[in-house]
Amino acid sequence: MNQRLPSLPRRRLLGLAAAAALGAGTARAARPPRIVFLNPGEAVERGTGPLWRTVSRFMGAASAALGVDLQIVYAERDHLTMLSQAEDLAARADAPDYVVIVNEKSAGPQLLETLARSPAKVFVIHNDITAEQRRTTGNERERYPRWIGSAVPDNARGGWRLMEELYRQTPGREPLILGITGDPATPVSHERAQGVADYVAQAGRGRILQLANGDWSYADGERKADVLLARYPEANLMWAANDSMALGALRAAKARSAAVRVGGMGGWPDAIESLAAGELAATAAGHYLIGAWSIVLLHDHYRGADFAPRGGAAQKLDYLVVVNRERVAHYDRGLFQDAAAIDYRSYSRALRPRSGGYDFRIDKLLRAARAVS
Amino acid sequence: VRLLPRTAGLHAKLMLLMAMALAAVTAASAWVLIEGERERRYRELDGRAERVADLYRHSLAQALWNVDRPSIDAQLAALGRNPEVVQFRVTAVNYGLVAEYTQRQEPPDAVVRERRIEFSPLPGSPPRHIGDVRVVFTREPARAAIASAGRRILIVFGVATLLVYGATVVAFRRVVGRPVDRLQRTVDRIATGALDARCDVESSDEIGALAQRVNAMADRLQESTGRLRESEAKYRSIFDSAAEGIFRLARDGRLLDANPATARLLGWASAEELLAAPHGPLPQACVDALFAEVAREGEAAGCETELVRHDGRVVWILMHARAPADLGDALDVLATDITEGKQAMAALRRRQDELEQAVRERTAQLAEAKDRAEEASRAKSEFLANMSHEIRTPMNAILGLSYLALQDEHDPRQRTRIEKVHASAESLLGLINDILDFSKIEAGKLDIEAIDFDLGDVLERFTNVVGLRAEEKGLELLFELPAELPMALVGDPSRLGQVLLNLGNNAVKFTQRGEVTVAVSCLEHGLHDVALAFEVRDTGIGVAPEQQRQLFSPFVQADASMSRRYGGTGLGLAISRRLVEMMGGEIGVTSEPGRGSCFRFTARFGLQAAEAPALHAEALRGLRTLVVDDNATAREVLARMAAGFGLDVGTAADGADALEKVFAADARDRPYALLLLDWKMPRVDGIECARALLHAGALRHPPPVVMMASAAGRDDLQLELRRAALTVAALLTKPVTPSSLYDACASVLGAPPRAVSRALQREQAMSEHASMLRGARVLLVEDNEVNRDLALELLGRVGIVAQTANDGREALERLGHERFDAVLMDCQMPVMDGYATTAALRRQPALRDLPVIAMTANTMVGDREKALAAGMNDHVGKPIVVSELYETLARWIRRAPAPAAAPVNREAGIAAMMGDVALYQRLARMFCERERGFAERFRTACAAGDLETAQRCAHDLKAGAGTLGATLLQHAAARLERACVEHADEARLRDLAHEVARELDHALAALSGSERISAH
Repeated sequence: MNQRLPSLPRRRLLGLAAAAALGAGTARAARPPRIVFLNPGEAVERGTGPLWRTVSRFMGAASAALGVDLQIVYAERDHLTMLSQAEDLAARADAPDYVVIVNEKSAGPQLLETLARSPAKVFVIHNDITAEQRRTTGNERERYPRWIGSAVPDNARGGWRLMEELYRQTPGREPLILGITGDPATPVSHERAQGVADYVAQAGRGRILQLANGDWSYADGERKADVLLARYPEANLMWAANDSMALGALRAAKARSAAVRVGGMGGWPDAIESLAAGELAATAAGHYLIGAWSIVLLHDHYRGADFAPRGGAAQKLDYLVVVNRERVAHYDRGLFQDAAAIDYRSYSRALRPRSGGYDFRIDKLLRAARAVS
Repeated sequence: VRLLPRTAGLHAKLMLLMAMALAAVTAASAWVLIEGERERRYRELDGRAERVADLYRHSLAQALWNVDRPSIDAQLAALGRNPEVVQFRVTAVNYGLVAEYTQRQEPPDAVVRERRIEFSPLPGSPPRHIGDVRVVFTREPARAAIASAGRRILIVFGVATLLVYGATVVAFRRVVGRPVDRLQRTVDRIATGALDARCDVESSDEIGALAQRVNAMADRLQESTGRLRESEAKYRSIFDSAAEGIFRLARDGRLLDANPATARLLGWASAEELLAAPHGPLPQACVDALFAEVAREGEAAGCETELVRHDGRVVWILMHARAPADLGDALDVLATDITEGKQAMAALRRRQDELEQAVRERTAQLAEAKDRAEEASRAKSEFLANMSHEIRTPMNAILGLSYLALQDEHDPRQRTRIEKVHASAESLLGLINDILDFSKIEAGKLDIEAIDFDLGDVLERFTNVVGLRAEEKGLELLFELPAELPMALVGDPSRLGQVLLNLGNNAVKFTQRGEVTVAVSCLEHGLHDVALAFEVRDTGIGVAPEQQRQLFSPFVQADASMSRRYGGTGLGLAISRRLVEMMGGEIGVTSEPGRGSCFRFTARFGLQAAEAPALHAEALRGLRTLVVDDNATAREVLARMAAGFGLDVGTAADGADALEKVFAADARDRPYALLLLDWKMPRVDGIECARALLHAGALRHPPPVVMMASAAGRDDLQLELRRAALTVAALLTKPVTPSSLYDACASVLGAPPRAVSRALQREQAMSEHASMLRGARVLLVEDNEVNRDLALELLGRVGIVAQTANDGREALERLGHERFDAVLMDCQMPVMDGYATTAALRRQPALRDLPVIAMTANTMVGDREKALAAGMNDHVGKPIVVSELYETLARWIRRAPAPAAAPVNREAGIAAMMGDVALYQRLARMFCERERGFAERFRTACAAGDLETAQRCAHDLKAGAGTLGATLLQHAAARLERACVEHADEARLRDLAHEVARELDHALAALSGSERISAH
């Protein structure tokens, strides 16, 4: 966010390089689809976290696997830059087939409006257009017909699964739960917390002592956990809506010597490391694969297999997996060390026609990774 | 403290009072208002603090619930705008400080509010306590506001007060001030003499009333001034017509006022002339003295001064002065002419001086007469002392030589004559001593000593002197002493003995038959001193009551006829009375003519620190004892004394009675354990009685017999006993004292003996002195030939090698080339007397330490001191007492040290013979004669191989030596005897015999030496 002076020439260069790599084709069927991803993050690490670079990486891997011509433009966390990039894109003579955007800083409606002038189809990932925004923008394929869809991870299921794992690790005791979710303005915060609440309600035991709203940061997680653990000395489970807050909470718990298991969300390398060191109890991982899955969906759409009949235009993808201490080694190896281990083609319905909705479950990916190794 | 000067007017005082009252009211009101303001402001501050705390309590709840730091910080930052908030703290439950706002340190009087932060997570759920908020408000702004309000209030009140005060001042001035001023002016005029001035009465209030009263007062003042003038005129006429001078005197001597009498007194025609005189009539010194005295005393009374009148006559005047009440530097003086009285007084004084001169002359004459009288008295004393010396010198010769003569053998007729010479000399000496004592008493120079002595010794000496005379007259001499009588006393034994001897001699002298009893009893027994009562009773002619009073006066005897019949100076009792008084007692007599007299005196003595133990012994308690004496008094006394030791005493009046009782007791198996038997008894005497008891063989339990005889009869008794071949357990010398009785009973009955008896001690001391003096070289310096021979004889007897010198010069010559151990120095000699001689020899270094012992007949007090002052070491009185001479010499002659162990312990030997010295001496003589040939006998027996005989020789020697106390010889002989029994070899026998022979030589030497001494 504080990067106000991104390096434009390098961004261009990178974009051109990607376009050159993917090659150029004129025939629709013969020509690979061209997709541009307006990445809100930075191309290189600048202290804002690895999310958007990781998303780009898996998107690149999926594109390579599926023969998609992917171009990624980085907005450097500046939504004004992102808007101007969208305008550039809309003004392009040779419009790409698809533009993947993120409703970063609620800039989604403006992006949709801007890109409506382009023949390219628009796909929203990760941060969906909120219900409120949809009152002006309408839903997919309504007011903006070329907004063909959106895909987000099923965060509620992630919360559910995380809680399931934490319950499993706390047998025979009444789970007394503290939660730190994100800021209330972000829908993800609600969804993740909802999943947690649903699981607790369904399990028939355990009690949520308090759910607090955090600002996603490590420091806030630690600060809040410190006070909450003091307020509820009886608490024995704690979760946070991302790994940063979870690790902050973990630090507070350790400082207080509180006997509390801490679970996070994201499956980020810090969390993986902490899991491997036996400190963090679990994390609901895999969000950064949403970009790769959107490549699969757009690839199938380009090949004539529309995803709308298989789960609707707005896809809520239930693929998040819980990584615990037992599975952490497999996960790390399968996801990050062996980049070629994921067989993206196997998820495509155009290439592997099957009835029913898409299934992007990571269990399968992990199994695939294991089979490969 | 005074707020206004004393001169301040009523107006000023009232205004000041009012100003103070107003100030007080104003200050109080202002204070009340300011306090109200303060209370209101603080109440508001409390309310604000309350509201802020409540507000934040709610506003922080959500943020704290969700731990929203930025939100909390933002809310706290909002507080920064409120200057009253100095601190704000948010704490979470169990957690502590979450956020804090601190403007500065919490002031001490801060308003602090604390509130609980509670939150209900869900609507309707119970609120949960999640934290606390604490807000601290400072009072500073409130205080500033209060201060400014206070200033405003004070200004408003101050201005209002000043306005009211100003109005009041003006009004008061108009209503009161001016009328009072007018009144004052009028009164001032009256005061300055305008008695007709009157006030205007303007109003009927207090000021009007005051004006009326001032007018009335002015009326009365006018009236009384008139009366004063009349009085003045009256006193003036008294002043003018007074006979005494009355005048007023200024400090410079001038007269300020004077009456005509003063003028007359001072020789002026009239008072006016006197006052007009340029100089005061009194001398300035007199004036100053008057002023000074008045200043000091308040008035000057009776000052007399002589002065020259104006007309040249000299007069004496008497003045009384005092300061007048109304003015300062002057005196009112009353003066009287006292010239005539003065002249009379001077005449009187002259007469007195004459009288005093006469008295002085008379006193001088008297002093001269007194000096002459004292001179005469001293000459008399000197004469007496010289006379005494002159008499004593031949007396000494007579006594000494007759003593020596008595020691030698004589035919009985000569012996009787010599004895009479000796007795006469003694009696003459007694007379001289009496006269000397009396003269000392007259001169107040008789001293009483305080030395340790034994009452027994005094009584023994008494027995020796009086007992002999009593014996001669066939009188019984008895001692009646309680057993518990303290004997170790501190006092003057010679003076006590002198009194007792005097009374005892008198008693014997005036008693023809019967007994003389000396009774001593204890009146008071204190811790350190004792009061004893002595009684000397006789059964003689007695003293008529009318004579008893005079008995103790000097130069008086019972009557003149008695004096002729019995002799004596009649001084004895007078001296005794004086001596007794000096010993803290008194003397008296009770007597009945023809029945006897009892002289009784008391005396006080100190007690020696170590009192002799009481004469009690468990061994004696309850033993049956029979006292046999024909003299009822003696029997009674003895029985009581014996009972005092715990004996069970019975009595018998004569030998026959005794025999009866002894046999009866023996028959009843209750025999007597002891028989105290008098020798001299009518019909059956002691010896017969003892023979009947001891030789009868009829007694199953023959009791041990103690035979009693007088000191003089003791030798005869022993002779009689030997002749009758009787052995008695012990001999007891009469009169019996408790200690001698105890010693006898104890030795017979086996009770522990007392310490060594005094007789033995003395004997031993004598023998020690003799042995110490043997061979000593003494220079005798004596001018009187007879005395010189006497002294030489006495010295020679103890083996002293004496040289003589006739006077001091000769003595110094001899001392120059011969060595002496001591010098016996007569003091009064021709050519060079003893004092001068001593002083001279002390100047020679070689003779500085030579012991010099003075011999002097001067028994005046101070002789001894004089001798010591002259450098002599000691002093022996004349006539010479043998034991005193030896003792004194022995004290100063330190020759060869005493042998390590005496070959013969004579004391032990005598003790073994129950104190019978004569027996010991006899045995010693026999032992010496027999054992001189021991060595020869033993050698002969050994040579003959007759060890049995040799052993018997050694045995006999051992037994004899043991009996006589020759312990070393005894042991040596015992060893020899044992060697004989064991048939030891020849060499050993020879060695042992040699040792025995050596010890025998020592013992024989010792025994023969002591024999010779005791023979003296």
